Amino acid sequence: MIANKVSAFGGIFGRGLKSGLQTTRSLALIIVPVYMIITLLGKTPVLKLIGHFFRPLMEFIGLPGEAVMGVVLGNVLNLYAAIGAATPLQLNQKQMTVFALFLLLSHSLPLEAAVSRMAGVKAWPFIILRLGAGFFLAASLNFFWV
Amino acid sequence: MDSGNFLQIIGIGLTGAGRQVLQIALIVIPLMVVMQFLEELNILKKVSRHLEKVVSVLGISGAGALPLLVGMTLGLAYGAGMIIKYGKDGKLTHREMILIITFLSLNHSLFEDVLLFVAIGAQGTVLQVIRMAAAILVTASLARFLKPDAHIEHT
Repeated sequence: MIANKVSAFGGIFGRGLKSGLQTTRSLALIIVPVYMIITLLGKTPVLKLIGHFFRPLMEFIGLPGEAVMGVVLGNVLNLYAAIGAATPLQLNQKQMTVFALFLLLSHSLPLEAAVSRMAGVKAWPFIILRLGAGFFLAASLNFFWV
Repeated sequence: MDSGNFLQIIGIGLTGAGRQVLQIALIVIPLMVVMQFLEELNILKKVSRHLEKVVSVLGISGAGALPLLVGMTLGLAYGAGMIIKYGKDGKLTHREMILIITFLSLNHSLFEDVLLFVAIGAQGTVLQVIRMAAAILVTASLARFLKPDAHIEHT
């Protein structure tokens, strides 16, 4: 009786372990190449050019122009990169919250788009949705925060 | 860029990617084991039934409640992992997968991500309230527009 239960639990554990390993494997197959490509791009002037292009948009949402690198790095790489770029700017609480709202809504786009695509769902509508929502809500927060 | 430099960049990339995969494995594998128990012991069905009404606002069936919960707390990748599995098992329609990913793309890793920004001076409550409201509003609106069947293109 007890032995039966133990072996049933062992079976469930084994099936769970197998499905966990399979999921990790499929995520790794996406994450490793995307991460590599972005790391290489970071060593070229591409990221800097993007930053230069979007500078006026930053000023529109009440952030200093330099914050654009945080937004770009956060969207292309991850939140850690965004935070690394924002910390030296000494933003006040309002500015930091606007910056954070933008990036919480929209970050790590290549990686997370790849994950969405893996679920069999087109990625580009989500990229537009996230960037749009991030920019629109950050602008609104900047406008309404007194 | 000389070849030594190039190799160094490859090394940095591989280390970073490896760390990220390891981080995911550390959460995904125990999560999937727990999920297997919840599922085979029928706990999942009971929980989903309780959340059916809540997620129906978003146009999602009870089966979608758990991937939503997991994605919201642990992160998009973990939620997506479950969505993929549920899609394969036929528990979620393509439409529901779109709605769940829409919600999660705006609102995920509730604790970890928000706390990162609170740590550098942002107002956490404002952030999470706006994020949650935006995700609910967008997903519920999209549910009205997407016809209730599979094979719908996301436009």
